[in-house]
Amino acid sequence: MTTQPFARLNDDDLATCVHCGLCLDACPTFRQTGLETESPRGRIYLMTQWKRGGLPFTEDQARHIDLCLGCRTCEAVCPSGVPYGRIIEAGRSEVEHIRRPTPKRWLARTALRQLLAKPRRLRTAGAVTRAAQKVGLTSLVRSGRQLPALRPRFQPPAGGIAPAIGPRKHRVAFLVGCVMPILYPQSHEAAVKLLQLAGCEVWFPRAERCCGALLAHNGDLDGAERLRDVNMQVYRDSNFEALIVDSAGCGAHLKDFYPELEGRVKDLSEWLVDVGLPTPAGEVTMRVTYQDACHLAHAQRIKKQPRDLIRSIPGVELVEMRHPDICCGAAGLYSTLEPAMSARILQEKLDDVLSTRAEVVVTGNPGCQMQLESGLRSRGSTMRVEHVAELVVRAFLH
Amino acid sequence: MVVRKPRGSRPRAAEKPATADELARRLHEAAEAGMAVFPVGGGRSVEMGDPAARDGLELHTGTLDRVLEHSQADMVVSVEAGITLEALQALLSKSGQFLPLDPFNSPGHTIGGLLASGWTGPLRLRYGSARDFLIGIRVALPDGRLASAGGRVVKNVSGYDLMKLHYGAMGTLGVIVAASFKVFPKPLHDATVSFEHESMNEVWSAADRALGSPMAPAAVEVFSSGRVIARFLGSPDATKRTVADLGWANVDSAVWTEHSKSAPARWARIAVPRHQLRPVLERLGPEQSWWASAGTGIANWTVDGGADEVRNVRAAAAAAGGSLVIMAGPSDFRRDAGAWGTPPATLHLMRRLRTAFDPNEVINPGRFVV
Amino acid sequence: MMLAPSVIEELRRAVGKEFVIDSSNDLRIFERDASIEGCAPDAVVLPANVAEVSAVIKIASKNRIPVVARGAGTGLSGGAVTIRGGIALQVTRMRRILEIDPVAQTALVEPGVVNQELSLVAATHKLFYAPDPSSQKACTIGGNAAENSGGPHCLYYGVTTNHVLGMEVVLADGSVHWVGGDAPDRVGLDLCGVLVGSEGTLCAITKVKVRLLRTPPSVATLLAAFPTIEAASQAVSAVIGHGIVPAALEMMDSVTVGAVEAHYHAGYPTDAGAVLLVEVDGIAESTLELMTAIRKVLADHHGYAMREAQSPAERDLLWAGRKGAIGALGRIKPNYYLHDGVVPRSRLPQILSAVGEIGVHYKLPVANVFHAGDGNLHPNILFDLRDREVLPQVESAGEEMLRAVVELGGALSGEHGIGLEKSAFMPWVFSEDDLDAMKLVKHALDAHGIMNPGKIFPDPERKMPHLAGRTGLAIEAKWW
Repeated sequence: MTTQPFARLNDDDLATCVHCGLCLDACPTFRQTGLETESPRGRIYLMTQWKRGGLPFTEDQARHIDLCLGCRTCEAVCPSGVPYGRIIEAGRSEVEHIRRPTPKRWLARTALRQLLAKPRRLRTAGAVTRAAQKVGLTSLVRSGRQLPALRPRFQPPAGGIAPAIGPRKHRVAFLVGCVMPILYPQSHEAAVKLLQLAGCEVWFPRAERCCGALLAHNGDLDGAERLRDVNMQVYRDSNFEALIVDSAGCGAHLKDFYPELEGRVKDLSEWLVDVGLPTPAGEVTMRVTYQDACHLAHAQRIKKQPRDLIRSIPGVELVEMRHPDICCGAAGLYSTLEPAMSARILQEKLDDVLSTRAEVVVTGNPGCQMQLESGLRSRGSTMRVEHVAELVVRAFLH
Repeated sequence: MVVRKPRGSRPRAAEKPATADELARRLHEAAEAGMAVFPVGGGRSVEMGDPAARDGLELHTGTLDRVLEHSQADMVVSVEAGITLEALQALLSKSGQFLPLDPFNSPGHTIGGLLASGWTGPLRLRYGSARDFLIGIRVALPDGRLASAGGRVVKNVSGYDLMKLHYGAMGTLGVIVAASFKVFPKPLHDATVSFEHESMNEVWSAADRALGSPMAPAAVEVFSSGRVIARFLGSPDATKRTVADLGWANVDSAVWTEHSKSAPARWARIAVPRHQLRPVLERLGPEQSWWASAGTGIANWTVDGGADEVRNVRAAAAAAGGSLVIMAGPSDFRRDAGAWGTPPATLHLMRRLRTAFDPNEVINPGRFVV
Repeated sequence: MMLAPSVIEELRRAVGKEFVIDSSNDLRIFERDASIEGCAPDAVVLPANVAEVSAVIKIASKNRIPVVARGAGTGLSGGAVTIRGGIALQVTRMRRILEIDPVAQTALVEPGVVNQELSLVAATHKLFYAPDPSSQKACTIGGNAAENSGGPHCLYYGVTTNHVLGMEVVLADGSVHWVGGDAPDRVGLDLCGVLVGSEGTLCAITKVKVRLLRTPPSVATLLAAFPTIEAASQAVSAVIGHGIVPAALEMMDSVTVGAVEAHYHAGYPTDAGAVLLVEVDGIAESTLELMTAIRKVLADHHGYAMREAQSPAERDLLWAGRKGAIGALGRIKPNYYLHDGVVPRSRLPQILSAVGEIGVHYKLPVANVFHAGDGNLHPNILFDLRDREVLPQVESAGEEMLRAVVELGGALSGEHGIGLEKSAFMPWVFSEDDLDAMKLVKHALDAHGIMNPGKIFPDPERKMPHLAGRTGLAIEAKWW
């Protein structure tokens, strides 16, 4: 417990911003509103004033922090290396400490904590529905969007090991996580298959929990720390070359928030390009476009590898949209907590995606996948959304 | 191509001040006395514009012909307004430099006259007009003061860009007494080629081919006689390849000097958006004589007919988003046809500026649209 | 000064309730641009179109309220700072590219269109928009036109004013006008020419028509190291003296190279006293010939470790180092103070040594990264704003550098504008008569002085910087 106001905000971090404004047009909320207050520079300025006593904290101005997607596009374009992700998480955490939570926010936070802390609570599809209701995901349905059709949950193989196909060259751990196995089991299945094809023995740690990304991104740093402690007990003394993550948000969180794992957390695409896949036997004749997941492109600076993987498949034509690295508006719980802004951002994204006339839009994060699927459906489009792994694995399924 | 002596509208008193200060003083004295002032440089464009509204004093800038500074390494030159273009080019040439101005009715233009009239030539395609490389200016105001703007560095955003205001203003905001320019290195290689055909369709297509070359041409002039000449400036290999690809006949670059002497007795400049140039000229009919910078949208038309014909062509130019301005002709012809045509919609704003700089309309009264 | 509730109400009626911000806490967030000094507006208004801009300015005019147009707020001279309060006219909602005409090679855009966005769209027609300020990822075309912005490629292609064909503007009385146009010569005074670069003091810009150029078929980019800044400066003059005007010719000193290399790992030689980045474009034969000639000239002037980009990706990397250089300096100190004076190219060695001495005198690190081909300096004085003592020192050092620029026959600003930060220095280069002539234009178009007051012209109400009182170097005394 700290009594100093805004103690979590690090003044040295804040001071790295030189107020040059190069981040502005990279920010989805600035692009929508044209307002300095809804820009990264404006938010840093606000938090700096809070920290240094230049402005009093008000709930009105806390809205500017709420409206940040946390996509960190700004961080990738910042020439001064401002650690925006760290700043906004600290800022959120302070905001949540100071203000009276709205019923919706309180519900969302409580439900998240409860659900994510205990994996069995998420084990059934029924639980997902309940979760959706609890955290307000039903508002998606009301606005014409839906959760993906539920499939059987992803099940790690018996014994918690998937063997390498061919000679074993690597041993990796795999983050099963909380949302992916329930909403997108097919992505996990494709990812594991690709790892096996690349000569990896894949280990599924039994006691592994949610990585805590959703909590941290929503200002619950304490909850996220608790989950990290649980998980580190699993990882600390285990033998694996890399912890493979196929969800961008989790990967970014693990890389930032788990210093002990430094260098061993790898996004699936990053790892596969590193170790190499065998030459695919099949051809996939398809026009696709690629949507950078923010937590992959900006937080982890991984843009090239997924594209390299896509281009490595014979027959696939990759058509870039104009702004593939601008957020789709999903941003974890953002689409639930800030549905109006999320929808505006999504509409601009859909225009861009649809202009490519691709059959499939490929991405690397469940939140983006859900957001794009519901958006495309609402536009009556037949364009499908797939995880990178799903697309790539097709080339090996013949 | 006739070189003619300058013809003013009426005989007037004339003076030749020895310095900028003296010019400013005489301007002020004339203004105080309610006398009109007509600045004259080389007299090459004295027939441009409407006939003067009243008589007055001609102030000749011919004595103001010093080179104030030529910094060879900085490629910047500052000169007084009365220096002729030829004298300046001769100086610059010694250091392998030049000012890319090649106005018609040459030789004999002064720098001040060129800036006030805004005349340009074929090289405008590559280098732009003096508007683009005029970096500093000094003018005498009717209140007797000398005011400068800009500077002598090639890039400068200090203060208002008054160079733009004085350029082409026919002296109505002040008499230009000195100017600074960014100058250019002489090109490494200079090649001119020519294409002739009896069909104007072929001639226009040829001009388009030259304009579409991967290496952009420096000038492309189309003539109503059925000829195109194109000039390429650049590195030797690139120029040679471009010229070879085009496959036209090589011509001595002296053709440009000859061309710059063009000065019909009755002459109008048609300026339209580039892609509108051909349709406007086609409306002129085959018997008319003109030459045109195909890449910039400027044509120079030898007017055979009277004021009615000018008005017709002007209407076509205006409909295409452009203008027709009379460059030379007897004063009754200019009065009948109107030198400028319909004034722009922003005339009242321009008049506000005119009133601010020259409240009693001392300089060139009645001559300019403003 | 608070705006009367009735005025706020009028503004809300003009643009819509949610597009007027008057909460004092939020207004504080709008108090700065990318320069140092700030002052909060009394209202931020976000019009959607020219009619709304006109309505807002009419309200301002009637009530004599200052109006300061604001794009992305990336300006470096305080141009968008509401130093006398009033209305910040935020044009960022007006961000449509209205038309691209591939035949005429023009684009018509709203003022809030981001520079790089225009280039992205133009590229689909194999065209490009030449002015490329280092802030092109965020800065707006409206702001570029108001400030007459430059950029590395302006050496060959010219600055913004050379590429603006026409504009729709709203004057101080709220009247709307088109100035300029597509035709190469127009009848009357060149209003467009004087409005470009007028820093928002004469009009608000609501549409801009720009010229687009054909994308050159071939580009060659070369990085070369030099033992000293002097050697690099002489090489710059030598290249141009050889009759070659490269598309871009940029210099970075050793301090900058160190910071850039640590951030971008672009392979900049960190042992060098200075580095030049040279780019030529055109057809393949031309770039090959020019680059061969340039290499020879550079080698003759002690250039070494020359490296030509072998791929577009490598070229981007070399440029990323240059364009992100100022930000990368954040690694040394969190803040920078940056002037952009211009000297005659041949004076580069003198001015750079003067800048170095001033830095040493004030015990402030200085990093130079600039448009060497134009003689357009960018000395970055590095400091930490949290150190309250240091700011006056920084400002004094900046002033002395500008003074040195002027004493070498230079100009106060090459591309950033005079704005707030350099207005007090205008008498260094302009006589009272010169400034009076400029004021004739101001008064003719903005009689009540509501458009961006306190900019460009020395403001007697503001404290004079310690060197600002010096005069006597006005252009007439120096070189007419």
